[in-house]
Amino acid sequence: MSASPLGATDQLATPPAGPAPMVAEVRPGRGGDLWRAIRRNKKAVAGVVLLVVFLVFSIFPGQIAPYDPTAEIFPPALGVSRHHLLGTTAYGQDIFSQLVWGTRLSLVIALAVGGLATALAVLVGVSAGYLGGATDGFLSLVTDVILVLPIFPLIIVIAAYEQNAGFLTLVVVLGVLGWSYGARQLRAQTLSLRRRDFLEAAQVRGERKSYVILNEILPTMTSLIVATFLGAALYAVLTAAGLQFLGLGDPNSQSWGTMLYWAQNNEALFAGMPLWAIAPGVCIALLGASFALLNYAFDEISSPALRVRKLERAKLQTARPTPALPSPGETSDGAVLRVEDLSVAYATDAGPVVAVDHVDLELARGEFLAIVGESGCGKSTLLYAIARLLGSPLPGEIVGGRVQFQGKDLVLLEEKELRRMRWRDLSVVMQSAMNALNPVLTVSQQMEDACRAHANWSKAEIEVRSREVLRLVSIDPVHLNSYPHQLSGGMRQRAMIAMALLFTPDLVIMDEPTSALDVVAQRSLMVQIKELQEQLGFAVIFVTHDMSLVSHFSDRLLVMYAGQVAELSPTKELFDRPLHPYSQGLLGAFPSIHGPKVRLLGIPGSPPDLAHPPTGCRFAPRCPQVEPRCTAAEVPLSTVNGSLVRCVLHETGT
Amino acid sequence: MTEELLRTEGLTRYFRVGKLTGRQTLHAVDDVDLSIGRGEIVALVGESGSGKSTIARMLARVYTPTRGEIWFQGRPLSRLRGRKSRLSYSADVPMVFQDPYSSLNPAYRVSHGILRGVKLHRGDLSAKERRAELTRVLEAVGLTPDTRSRFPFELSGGQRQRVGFAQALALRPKLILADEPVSMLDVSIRVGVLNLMSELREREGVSFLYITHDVASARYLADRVLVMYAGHLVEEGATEDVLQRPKHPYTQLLLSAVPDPRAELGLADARDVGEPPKIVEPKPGCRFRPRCPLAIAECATVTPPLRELDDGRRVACHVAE
Repeated sequence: MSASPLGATDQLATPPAGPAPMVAEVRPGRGGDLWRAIRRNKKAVAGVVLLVVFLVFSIFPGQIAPYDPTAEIFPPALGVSRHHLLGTTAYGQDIFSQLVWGTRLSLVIALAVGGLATALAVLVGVSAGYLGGATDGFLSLVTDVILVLPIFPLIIVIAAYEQNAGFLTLVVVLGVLGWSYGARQLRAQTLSLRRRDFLEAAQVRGERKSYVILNEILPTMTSLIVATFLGAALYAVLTAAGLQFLGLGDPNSQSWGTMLYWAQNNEALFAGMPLWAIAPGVCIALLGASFALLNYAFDEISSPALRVRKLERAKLQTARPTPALPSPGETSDGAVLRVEDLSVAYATDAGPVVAVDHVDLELARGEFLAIVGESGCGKSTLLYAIARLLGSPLPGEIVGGRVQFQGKDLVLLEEKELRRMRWRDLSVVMQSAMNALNPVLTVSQQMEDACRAHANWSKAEIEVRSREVLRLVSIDPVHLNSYPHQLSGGMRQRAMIAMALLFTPDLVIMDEPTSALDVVAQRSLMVQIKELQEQLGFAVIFVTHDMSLVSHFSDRLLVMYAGQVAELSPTKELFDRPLHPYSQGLLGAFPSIHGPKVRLLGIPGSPPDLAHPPTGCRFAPRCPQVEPRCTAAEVPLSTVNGSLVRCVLHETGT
Repeated sequence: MTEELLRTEGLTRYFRVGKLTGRQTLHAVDDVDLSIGRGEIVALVGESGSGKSTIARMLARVYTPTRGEIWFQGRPLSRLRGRKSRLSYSADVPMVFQDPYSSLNPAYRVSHGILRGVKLHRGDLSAKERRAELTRVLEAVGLTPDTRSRFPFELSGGQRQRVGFAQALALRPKLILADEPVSMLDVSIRVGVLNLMSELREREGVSFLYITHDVASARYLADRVLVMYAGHLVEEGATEDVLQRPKHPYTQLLLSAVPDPRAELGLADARDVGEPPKIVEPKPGCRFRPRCPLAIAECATVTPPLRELDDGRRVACHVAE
């Protein structure tokens, strides 16, 4: 759960709203979903099966074990046979029966220690994280001290005082010493939750602190609490076995550790009976493995990012029609970029979701193209596909089409070649400069890194160029030695743009570079970008959700809806005479500070689920001008006076 | 203005910043007098860091004012004694948060937050009446009653924000503090939430303090506008007055920067690359002075008080008239 410091501005860190739930997130609140997720996860299934077997052993040992485990009635040191599945001990007891009976103590210790340690970890960790201040200081100190204690030697000392330490002593000692690791994690998690508004909402509502901790914080941390429990249980199994092996437990108890102790005492290896030690050892390992597997599985289930899904490529490839513009090779007539029939898909539980659906696009040298649309319409995905930045951590994969840039198809380029090209000829300015800049390096160091990676300049040349580009974006070069946090939001964003211009690229790709800024800073940055573009001649693709922002700056506007091009028009045309009802809706959605005050309606409804797009026109369900023919068949793009529009009202009948 | 509901007097909040050595005081909100009438929608406009959210959090009693007093229905908040009277204020003045993705607890269904509020503040209702109230508020904010059993991750941003308003509404509030409630929503659905607020005012008689950095939406929604700059209230007046004839140079700059495709690009002060200062240990004087085209010598030494011009307009500027 990563709460972005900038909140609104960072779509990558906040739960994506778009073609988003890449993977259906499983909330611990939903029993059914959780069970389904467990069944789908191989590690979870293995862990559960192992644990169930041991649980059955520990509940019904009398029914499963063939003999009394303590009865010394057989010949000693028998080998494996039909009567004695694992042979007998030095004292003539049946080993298999001992294993079955031993399960109970091992499991009870694991669960009891797990429970005790988890309770302590939750109490200390969550209180420290939520209450903060001096309480946090004190509790964190205690946690850290316990964390660095050499636990095993300490337990040996304590257990040695309590000769033949009973079950209770063992549980209390292990529990009291084993909670600190979990407490640290729970504290960290609580700290990150503290920034979430729902806790402040509870406070504003007038809730008591105890209610907030018990009813608002704890339920959101179920998976971490389970992980803490499993971790502590695992540690208890291993430590308890170790102590008993050393003879620090009750040697007459029935447990795997005690079996190891006797195996050692009777010199299992010299006696040629390795099974005395191997049998309980394997059981300890298996029980430990079941806890570890469940722990891993829980991690994966609760954080979808850990699960990797692969697209079934073949299916999508065959479903792909022939490209609309069959012009491979060199981009001609001054076009700096030509996107042909580009499609991007995400893998989800419900199958592949096409986030960018057969987009064609041409960008002239020095042109400013803006891409607008609601979140989830595929505008950012298209951008990252063009820059070939999809893939972890940005989900999505190009499943068809070409991106012609400087005579090369970027889709087919090797990563190595791409990397060389990316900064020199094509650079990217991200939404949140605070996340894109390295916080521990100064501006000049970061510029130097970029230069060294992409050019063979001397230190002096780099310095000169760095100063030059900073001046280009109106930042005083003294800030070369500043760290990102010392710059204001607007300056950071300018610095990002300066870095993108280090090599005078042909194309600069910008993803909402101004959305974290205030209106005044936003406008001056836009003016600056436009001036730089005119001065240096690079082309710009600019993604934004705010059409009005680019109204005075872009040459053409691409309106995307549900992964498709809805309309592509010269900017002025689009504002004066929007063709697509969706463009009209977007234009009518925001109030103005001029002119008469009119009641606006926005666009009712929300964008379609791309896993199941509506048939025919995708905007039809929200369209005020919908007709029967809209939903009959896929609507093609039509050319109307130099604009492209996907709407039956403007179909030219080709 | 209608009958007064809430008023602040010299509302001030400082934060201590910096390490143990060299502790400094950040003046987040300085000496703010504002008032909100019954059934009135007041917009508090300013850039990030101007102190507008801090004001909301003082009104919501998350922060205690460093100085100054808040009067609600004629009674000072600092004299609220006992859990009961504090709870009663919380019910009268709930808050709706900016980020719909973090303001609902992901572990609970939609009904949780609403029912919990009802239970806490309206303990006299039976379980059946609480369910009825749940349905009422969901419908009042334009959601279907079956939304109650959905989890937040199943809802869109706009729907989540409506749930936020439903939670507030369930307390029978008198004033809802709406902290940038639409800034994280898509442009296409913002208007829906703005319309919802204005409907709730009509139907339920609730007042709103609408906190925003978006002047155009303030114009769409609010009766009155308060403009904040660097912790100071710099201009106040009826919405149309302020927006059509801004008096304070900062208000003028802010208005000229609002992108508007229906107007010419205002390039006159587009080169302003200044930013609001962090107000740490300030000296007297106007805080907008370094960016101000009208600044005179007096601005550097005397903090301009908020003074009344004609017809209720108040401006904190030595020069404006």
